[in-house]
Amino acid sequence: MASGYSELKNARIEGIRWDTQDTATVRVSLLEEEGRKSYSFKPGQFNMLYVPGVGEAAISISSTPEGSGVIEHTVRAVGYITRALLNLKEGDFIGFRGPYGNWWPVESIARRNVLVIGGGIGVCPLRPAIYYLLKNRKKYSSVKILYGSRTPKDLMFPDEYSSWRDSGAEVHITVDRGDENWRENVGVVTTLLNKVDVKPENTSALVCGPEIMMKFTAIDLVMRGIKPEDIYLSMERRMKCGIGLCGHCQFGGFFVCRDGPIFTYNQVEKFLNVKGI
Amino acid sequence: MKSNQEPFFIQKKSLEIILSNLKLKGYKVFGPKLKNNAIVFGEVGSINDLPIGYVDTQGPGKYEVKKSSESFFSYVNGPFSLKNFLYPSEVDLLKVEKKDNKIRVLSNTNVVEKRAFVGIRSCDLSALKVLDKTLLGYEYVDEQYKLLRNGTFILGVNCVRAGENCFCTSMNTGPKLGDGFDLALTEMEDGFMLEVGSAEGERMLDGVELRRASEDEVQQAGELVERAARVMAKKVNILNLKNVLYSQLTNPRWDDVAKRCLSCGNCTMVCPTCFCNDVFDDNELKSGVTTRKRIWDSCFNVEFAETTAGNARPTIKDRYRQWLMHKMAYWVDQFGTFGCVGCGRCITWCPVGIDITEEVRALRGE
Repeated sequence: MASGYSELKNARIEGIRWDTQDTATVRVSLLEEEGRKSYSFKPGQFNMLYVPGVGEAAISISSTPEGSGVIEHTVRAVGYITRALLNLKEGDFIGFRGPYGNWWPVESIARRNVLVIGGGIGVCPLRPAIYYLLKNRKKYSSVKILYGSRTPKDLMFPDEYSSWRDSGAEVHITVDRGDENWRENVGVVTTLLNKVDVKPENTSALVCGPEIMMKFTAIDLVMRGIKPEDIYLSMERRMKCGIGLCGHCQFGGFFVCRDGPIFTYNQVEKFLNVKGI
Repeated sequence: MKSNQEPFFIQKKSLEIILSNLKLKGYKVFGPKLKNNAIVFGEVGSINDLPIGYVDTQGPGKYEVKKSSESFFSYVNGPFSLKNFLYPSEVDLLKVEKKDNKIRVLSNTNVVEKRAFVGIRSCDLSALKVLDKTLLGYEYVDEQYKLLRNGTFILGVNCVRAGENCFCTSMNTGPKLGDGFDLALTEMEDGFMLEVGSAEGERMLDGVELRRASEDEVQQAGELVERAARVMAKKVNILNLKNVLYSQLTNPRWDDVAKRCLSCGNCTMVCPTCFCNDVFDDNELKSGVTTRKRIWDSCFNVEFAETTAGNARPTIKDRYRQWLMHKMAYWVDQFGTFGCVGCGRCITWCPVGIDITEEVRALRGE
């Protein structure tokens, strides 16, 4: 048994970097005396960030799991909490608890071909997995990253694609709508699957993006012969507490915070296929 | 603990002594009370505070109480359950102070008194077990519920009358109390059969004129409860219910019920197991101290499942399906028990009289 809400630690804002017009990466560090060194997380987990006097939001961790002491969270400013968070400045303190949730199976998929498929800001919880896979690149047969966003302006982390390639990943990028300077693929992210060689029997896919994108990506992958249990999806639901007590993040028979956020396709297929679950 | 002794027989007025023993031993005593023409739970000082003689008539979207008998416990359940006390609609989770730019979590100063609940029915005792599994059964527990629930004294009552909306027999949650009570009463014509469920229960019998119930009386009490079970009109077929409902996620019945449902959330408020909550910051401007408060929320609220990506359940159909599926199917996967105890409150307090037993029957194609 663990206590939840009152496990708040202080996290210092080390900086806020605007990635796109509405999305920014908040860099925080814990205090030395509150476990800065002992804090660790696995790729795909999330933290609860608390803006004092405003409220808490569940935000996935977008930085490398190799502890430098600075933890990154990429946030789209939509609700009042995320907007308040992104209005803070370096040196401000917020409340922090976590990490929570399960993680991408980066260890158990060693020796396999890994497909990393992201849509929009869904690439953020995949980014720690990308760092892990590329740092341990020799352990995997191949690493292919397929990433798409609405427009070139919405692409997250564009400065990093070349370093991903240099570290041994095959990287394909697409947008729904290009602009005059766009020379790469146009179309939804599943169109990128035609550009890569998929070996179904030995491939695991890590997928995160809008629900509709994950649904059609999973359907496509299954048609290509990948087993539903080798397709991992990171689900998004409203996580208010992060610890399985508030009921908000229910997704069929699951609590996304407690049982996920990462599920295999065979676990969630029956719910994904019905609108409004 | 199941009743560990032969049952006793006591005079009805002896309940007064039990109530005063509870108070002498430091309990604050709550029980059924008549308020605004409904039977709710409130603090009771003596048996005169109980709604003796009142009987309720319930139907879909219908509730009425009238004085029409001499019995202590002829009514069944009103809109309140143990949830109102052990998982109240608003509770302080923690206080946070901001000083020198840093936050400090202040220790929780909630003081909890010992509380006794009189007149708890089997459905509500079962609901307590559901809440225990839900809020205390996993890695993270609801600390406030744990605090408020600890040391709760239960004086249960076996139902000898079935309410019009009751279906506890279907959910295997009544009308006879299972384990978990401290004392249990079965009301008979000239007295109560009394069962002792715990040592604490036994301690409340000082000065009560007790005699062993005769075999006839035990049998008669059993028959009264069995008769209540037999005449219970509403039923749900729980055979393979989870899997059947999982196969009915696109049944057109959801569209049908969505036309009737107002999405008001009454059913979730009166449900003794609905626990969904929200947490908000209550700021004291002068001291700079923030109280993080937990309040009841409802899956019928339109913004309940809203995320950055949009609303996961934008229609009433989505939200009614979430609620019924949660009670009757999802809960089984999430917590290993149904989320429904068959108390029938959601039927009674639904302003348009939606009857969950009828909806399940239609979804099953029965």
